[in-house]
Amino acid sequence: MAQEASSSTSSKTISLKTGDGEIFEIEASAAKQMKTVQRLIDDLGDDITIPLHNVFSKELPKIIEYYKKDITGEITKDFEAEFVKDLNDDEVKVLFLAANYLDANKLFEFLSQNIADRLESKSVEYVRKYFGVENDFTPEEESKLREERAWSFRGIKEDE
Amino acid sequence: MKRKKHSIPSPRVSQRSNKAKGKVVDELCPYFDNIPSHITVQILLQLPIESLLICKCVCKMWKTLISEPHFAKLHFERRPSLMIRTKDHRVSRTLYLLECQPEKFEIGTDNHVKLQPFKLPLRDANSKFGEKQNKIKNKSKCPYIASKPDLDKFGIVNSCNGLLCLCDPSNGNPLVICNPVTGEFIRLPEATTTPTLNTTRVTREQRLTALGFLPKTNEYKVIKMLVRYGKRVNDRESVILEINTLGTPSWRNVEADSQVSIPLLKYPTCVNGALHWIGFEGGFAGRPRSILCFCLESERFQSFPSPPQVFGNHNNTTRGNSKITMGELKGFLYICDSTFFTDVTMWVMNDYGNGESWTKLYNIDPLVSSFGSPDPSPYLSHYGLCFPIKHFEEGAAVLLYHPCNWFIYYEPEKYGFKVFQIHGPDPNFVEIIPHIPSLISLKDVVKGDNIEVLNIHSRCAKFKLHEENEALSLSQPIDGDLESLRSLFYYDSD
Repeated sequence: MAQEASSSTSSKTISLKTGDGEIFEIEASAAKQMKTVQRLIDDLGDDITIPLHNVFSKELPKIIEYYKKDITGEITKDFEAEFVKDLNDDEVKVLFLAANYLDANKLFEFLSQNIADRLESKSVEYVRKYFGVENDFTPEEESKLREERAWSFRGIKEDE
Repeated sequence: MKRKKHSIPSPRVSQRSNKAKGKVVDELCPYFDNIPSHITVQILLQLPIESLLICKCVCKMWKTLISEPHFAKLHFERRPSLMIRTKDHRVSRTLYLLECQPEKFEIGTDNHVKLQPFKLPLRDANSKFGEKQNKIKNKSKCPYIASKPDLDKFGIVNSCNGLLCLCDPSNGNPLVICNPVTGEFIRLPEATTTPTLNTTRVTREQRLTALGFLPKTNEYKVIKMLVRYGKRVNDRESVILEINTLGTPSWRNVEADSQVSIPLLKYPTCVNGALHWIGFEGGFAGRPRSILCFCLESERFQSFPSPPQVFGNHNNTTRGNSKITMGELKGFLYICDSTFFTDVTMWVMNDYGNGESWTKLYNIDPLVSSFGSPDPSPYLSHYGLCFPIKHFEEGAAVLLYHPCNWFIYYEPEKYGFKVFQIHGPDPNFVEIIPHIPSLISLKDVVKGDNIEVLNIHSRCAKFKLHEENEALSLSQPIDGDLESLRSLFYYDSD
């Protein structure tokens, strides 16, 4: 993606450089919402391109889009639904981690809820894979646990 | 100014920049596994209880995280809920989770949303288990078993820290402690024979049970009390008090302080390592007069300051109609007075033990102000229980329960009034149990091998009761607002 056109001269823009070398512009007020970026600005000054080693050109535009809406106070339920509609589970995960790295609280909270919603009907194996967690139960422990929760799908979802 | 290297490590950068930019799932997985547990918790706190049961099986660390009572409390704050049970003549071993999320109450007038069920054990399960064992092997379908309320039904005494205390409904004898969410339960030790007294001098007796939690020692205690009142006014009551610390195999006799007089007690609530009840004077349909407190550490009764204005309001005119309840929310003791349904008040003890700190939080005027009618139907005065849902300061929310299973959820700051209804097979009444759903494991509570921890799902889940084909569901009445309630409850609607 090429550089976005800079915003109007009255508001300051900050240049962000992703881990894969691309540069994006955001408004200073949006940058304030991302505490990591703000800290870097405080350290490096706002005239220098801020390097974000852990965020890449795939995610950053989405994040910028979110905060563009946020500073104008336009984040609605519809916008949020639309925002995540076309993201698959892994894309959401990457965005979530980027929001965590950037210390962008509002986006972080919103995405954590979205991830929780996506995990709601998934199996144990899927959740393990998604979080990259290893199963450290012994086979006996595992079968005991499985037996105890075997009912949990016999509730609402199975009937429908 | 020296250029500071930012402190957040970026160990994965080299990996990623070497690979193609397309999504490869395996690459992303390692990216997630170093996330600090507080981030995982952030996601877990937003999951419903059924999903938490699945997540408990992911790995040992997650199991520990999720099973902690503190996690349960945080989770409950985000997703407050109540348990509901049908209150009819059948066994009703199912508790339904009613989640108080106002967005969920707006489902349209044609929709019915089923409530998530949880099972309680059956009282007489052992005999059924033996009989049916052979039949199960032969049949692939779930066998139906006959259940009798006198034999199988449990009464629910109180909920404490995610556990329920169940009793024999005919005599109040505590029998089982269970966690309805995980399905685990333990049977309390057999009752020791109580010494008989000279029965000619006993007019009435009161059996009292409660489950409490002592944070200091991380112990749960069940107390069981038999109070016998003599005929003559000055006769001292005789009190037999027994305590079982969960995990021990027997009941201990504890001497009760003969100086403390014990009135009719209701609404056991455990707060701060002590059990509290509201004391009623004047028999069953009496007036609330006091709060009695039993300290679980010293195992002694002591008096406790009550909000004077509340109990003082109840005089002869309200006799028999007092609707005062007591409970606990977020570690605070509250008293809710919904006797005058036009003016439901909530009192909270802000500073535990300090009588002056009883603070009147709010009055709710759920119907009168909306309709401008000064004389609501007398029908209303018979029901109308009130349960606080959300913590008192941040946008207090309350659930009010009307007759015929109408509920009003009231959150003044955000949502105003939301009306919904619970449908079921026999929809007349439901029992509401304030309970914090928790995944705490009874095995951790009981510690050691003295008491066997059983699980409903590995035993009785194979059986079905006929009643269990029907589920409770939530629906939104015609307009979901108070107008529709009005037509039900006001005889003279204009």
